[in-house]
Amino acid sequence: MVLVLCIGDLHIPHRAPDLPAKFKELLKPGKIHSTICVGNVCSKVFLDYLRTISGELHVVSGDFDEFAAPEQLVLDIAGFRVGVCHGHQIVPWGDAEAISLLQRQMGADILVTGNTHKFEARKAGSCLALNPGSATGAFSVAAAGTQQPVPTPSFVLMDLDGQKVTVYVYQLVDGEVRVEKIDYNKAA
Amino acid sequence: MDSAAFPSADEQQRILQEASTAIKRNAFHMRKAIEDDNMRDSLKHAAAMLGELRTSQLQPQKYYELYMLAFDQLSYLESFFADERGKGRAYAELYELVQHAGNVLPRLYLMVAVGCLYIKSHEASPRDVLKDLVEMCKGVQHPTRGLFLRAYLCQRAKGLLPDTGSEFEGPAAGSIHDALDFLMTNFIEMNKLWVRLQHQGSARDKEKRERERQQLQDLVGKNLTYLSQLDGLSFELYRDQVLPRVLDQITSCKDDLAQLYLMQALIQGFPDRFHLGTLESLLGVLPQLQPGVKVHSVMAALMDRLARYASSASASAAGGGDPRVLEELAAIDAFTKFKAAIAQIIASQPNLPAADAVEMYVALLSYAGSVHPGQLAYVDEVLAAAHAALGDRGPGLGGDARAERQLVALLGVPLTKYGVDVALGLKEYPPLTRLLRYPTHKELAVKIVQRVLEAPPPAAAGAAPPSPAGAAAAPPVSGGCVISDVDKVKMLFRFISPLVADPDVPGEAGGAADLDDEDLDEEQVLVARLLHHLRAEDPDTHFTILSVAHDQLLAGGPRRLRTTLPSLVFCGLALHRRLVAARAAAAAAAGGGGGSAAAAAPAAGAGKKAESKKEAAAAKKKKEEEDKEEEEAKKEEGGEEGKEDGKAESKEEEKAEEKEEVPAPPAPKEPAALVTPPKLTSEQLLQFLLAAIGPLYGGPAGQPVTALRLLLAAGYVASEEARLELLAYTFFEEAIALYDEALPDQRSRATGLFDIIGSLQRCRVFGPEHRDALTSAATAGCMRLVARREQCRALCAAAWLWWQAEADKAAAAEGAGDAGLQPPVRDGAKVLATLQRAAKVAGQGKAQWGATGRLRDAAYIGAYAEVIDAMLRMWDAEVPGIDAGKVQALLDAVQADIAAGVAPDAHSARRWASTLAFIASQAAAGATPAVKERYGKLKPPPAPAAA
Repeated sequence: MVLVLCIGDLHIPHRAPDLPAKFKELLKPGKIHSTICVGNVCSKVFLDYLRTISGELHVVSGDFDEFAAPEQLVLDIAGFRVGVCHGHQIVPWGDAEAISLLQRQMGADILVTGNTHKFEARKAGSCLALNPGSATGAFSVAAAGTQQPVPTPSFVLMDLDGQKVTVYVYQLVDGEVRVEKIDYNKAA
Repeated sequence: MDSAAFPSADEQQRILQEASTAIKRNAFHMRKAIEDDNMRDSLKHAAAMLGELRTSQLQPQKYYELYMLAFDQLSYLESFFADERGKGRAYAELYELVQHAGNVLPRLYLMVAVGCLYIKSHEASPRDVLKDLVEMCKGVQHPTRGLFLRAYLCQRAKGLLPDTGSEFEGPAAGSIHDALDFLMTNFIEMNKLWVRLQHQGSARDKEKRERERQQLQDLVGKNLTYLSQLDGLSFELYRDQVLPRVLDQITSCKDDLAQLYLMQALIQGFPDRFHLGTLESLLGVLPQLQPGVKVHSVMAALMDRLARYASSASASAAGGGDPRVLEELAAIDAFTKFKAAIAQIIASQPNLPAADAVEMYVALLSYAGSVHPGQLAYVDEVLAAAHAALGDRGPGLGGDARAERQLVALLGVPLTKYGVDVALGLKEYPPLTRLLRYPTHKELAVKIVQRVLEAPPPAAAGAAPPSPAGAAAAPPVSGGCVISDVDKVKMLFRFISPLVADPDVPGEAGGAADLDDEDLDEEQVLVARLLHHLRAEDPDTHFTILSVAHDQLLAGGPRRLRTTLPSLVFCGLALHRRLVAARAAAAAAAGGGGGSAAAAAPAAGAGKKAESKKEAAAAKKKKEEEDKEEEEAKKEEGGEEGKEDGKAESKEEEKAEEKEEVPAPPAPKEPAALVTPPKLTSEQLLQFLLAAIGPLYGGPAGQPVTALRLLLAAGYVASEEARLELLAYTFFEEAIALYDEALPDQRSRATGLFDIIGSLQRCRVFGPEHRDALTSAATAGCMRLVARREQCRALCAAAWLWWQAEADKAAAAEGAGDAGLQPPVRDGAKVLATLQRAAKVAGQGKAQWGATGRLRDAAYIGAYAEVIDAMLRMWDAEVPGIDAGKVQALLDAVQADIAAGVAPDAHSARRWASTLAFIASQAAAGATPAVKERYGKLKPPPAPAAA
């Protein structure tokens, strides 16, 4: 089994001053094998911070990132093809069909995207589309005029084990960390 | 004799050896004589033994060894004397007898030994014997010998003083006054001897001798200790008899070591209560001390002692402690006395190191914290006094690094003790920070910012005065504190001025010019993060805070702006979101809960439809429920009535909100105070942001890529939240202009274009005219990308500009709804035209391949696949005009080329294969029968052999 941290849209310092203290406590180095960051970290300090969490950091660039990083990545992790893309390039934003198309184009078993600042895990065919949300609960432009204008801070841990993906969602609700577990099976 | 040098260390060792042997030998004979009950011989040998103490060849340390040897033997003699008395020999006789010893020193030791027994036996008056002894000892004026003799006297007489309540008190025996006199006289004489000790030995190793002398200090101090232990020592006696004489001795001895030690001994030795009553005398003596005395540490010790006294008294007040201590300290205005004393010391000692001066203020600050907890005025006074005392030492305290460190420590106290938010009320803080060098001040500023970002709430928060604003916003999830008062925000920028501005003094190091971009960015990220902690619940106040911050950032120059402006803009956008919510809440309150939709779009009233009957009915029902609840609430709130104006309204508003919040997840609660809508308008705020982004377009603060994104974010908010068409148009117009003129490279142009399309795609504020202008500009932008494949991809995305999502009906019913928005654009013809244009670009790619024959140009196959994928999605979305025929035509075109032998690059081939596989899978196992049927109409070419 391989533990992969999926995190993104920190937007520090643009939209948030820091990661939630309770998340920092959880993200102590040691247990996590690799980190996937969907971008919009926005400062070198916090990119360096992400590097400290696990042995390897795979990062794509978001629309507000200034460091050099690819727009898309396809990784082989524990027998899964994992696609990574921030998602601001996807038109319409967050559109499920558009994400499926990207997944198909990348040939990914799991596609991790960000941009919407909203946690999502969706099964489409044999594939898993995952959005870890914003780790800082950063201001979301796309939430303008919607009913949930304030994003909930969240990140995701994926446990990849043979054919099985277990997704643990960590959300900060009313100052407390709430963890949910969702199971997926790779199609035979 | 006094100034004679001691022999060498070896020689002294030899002398010590010989003397020790002599003492032991004489002691042996003495004990033998005692056994033989031979008084005469006993005394003879005892005198001979004590005679060894007459040496002046030994340094105090060595002499001490000798003294201890003799001291031990004297106890045999003492018990012998006691035995003799039992046999009928009177102490009077013995006292007489020992005076026959030939030498002064042995005679005096023996007299002390017998004299004390004499007192103990109650045969003699303690007063007379003690007076006799303390006077007789004046006969020994050699410093070392005299000091030890008197130490012996003091030690033996300790329990025999005519103290109040002791068995040795009485009309003839003497009183507390005699006990005082004895100890005072002995103390004064010992101190004189101790001071003179410094002149012994050669002038060369003065430092070593002073160290040795210091080791003897407790011999002198013992007298003060015994004084303080006297039961009869009342405060009045202390004040009138002891203190004046001790202080007089301290000042008149003019010895650095003695003065420092005795002041400390005095402060530590006598009760706090005594100091409280004699503070002025204590403080008054400080400026008279020798210039070499570390007065600041005496001063600090005194303040610390009283501060501890006060805090322990107040801490134990509940458990029966003395609550009057604080009152007493306040009544005598100890703080002012301390402050004045410090100033006087600094004035009277021009050579006092600045660090020592600061140390006194640190102690004064901690005193103020204990005795006047939570009273910032005192802290301010300390800071002002420190500034007045140090202000003329020049920048960086004249380059005195130790003093600077002390000053940083001083400045750190209010931050840790009260927290940054409270400390920002200190007007005297910024001037004092100006005494630091710029880089040192910057280090402090970084610490201040980090405290705001991270610090837990201050421990002393309970004692601190409440923030006058009273409308502090909730702290961010990342912790730290929020500064929500405009004046405090202004103050904060003064506290941390080196992080937001260059040095005042031209040429001073550490400004922006001395840092490379990366270092400056790292530093400014702190400021950018800080901005999120500057906010108020009330939108108007928050806006003022942002304006203040903006002015500060502008003053800091363009290179700092690069990092800080984006944060400011997002702070503004977040504020806009709350502003809209606040207006909605206020309107809901005013309108009884039904009109939130209109309020959310303040500037777009025109498009508002009349409320449906259903809505009105719902509102009415709600109102009835509210009234019921309100009655109940009134009973509960009772006492709070009449606290604010417009109470009834405010309650209604609260209720309305609670209602609205029931089904929704816990959204941030609006405070009840927002009865009146905020004065701030969306226009004002957005105009402010438009201006704020300006410097990022280009020039020294230029960040065109970031500026483009900020414009789009603000434009989207202007459209979807503010619903202000012209402002939204302006943001997009500027963004497109930046895309056209300022983006540095192809990659940022390509991603920038996708961002324009992505934002614009969802905007629904634009009427046809503005929309056409923007969409054609975006589409034209697609054609300005260089690579055909990129053009193709961008056009496929741009096709969505003509196909917006259906309005979310559920959301519209609950929230802001569609007021001020246009109906979604769903124009199949335009979608098709755009996709066909994309296909044409792919076709141009084919022509190019035809001309070059290069493998890489065969990537046009991939471009076609891109268009087919886009078309399939539009087909899935049931866009009119997209049908099987259109898709099939493209499929056939590509298939024909592949059949004709075009071999695309691997990436394009994979893309093509994935498209074909998708069509096949949808036809075979589509999610719904409709999908299966639709895809079944396509006749995809056989899957390529080599994928």
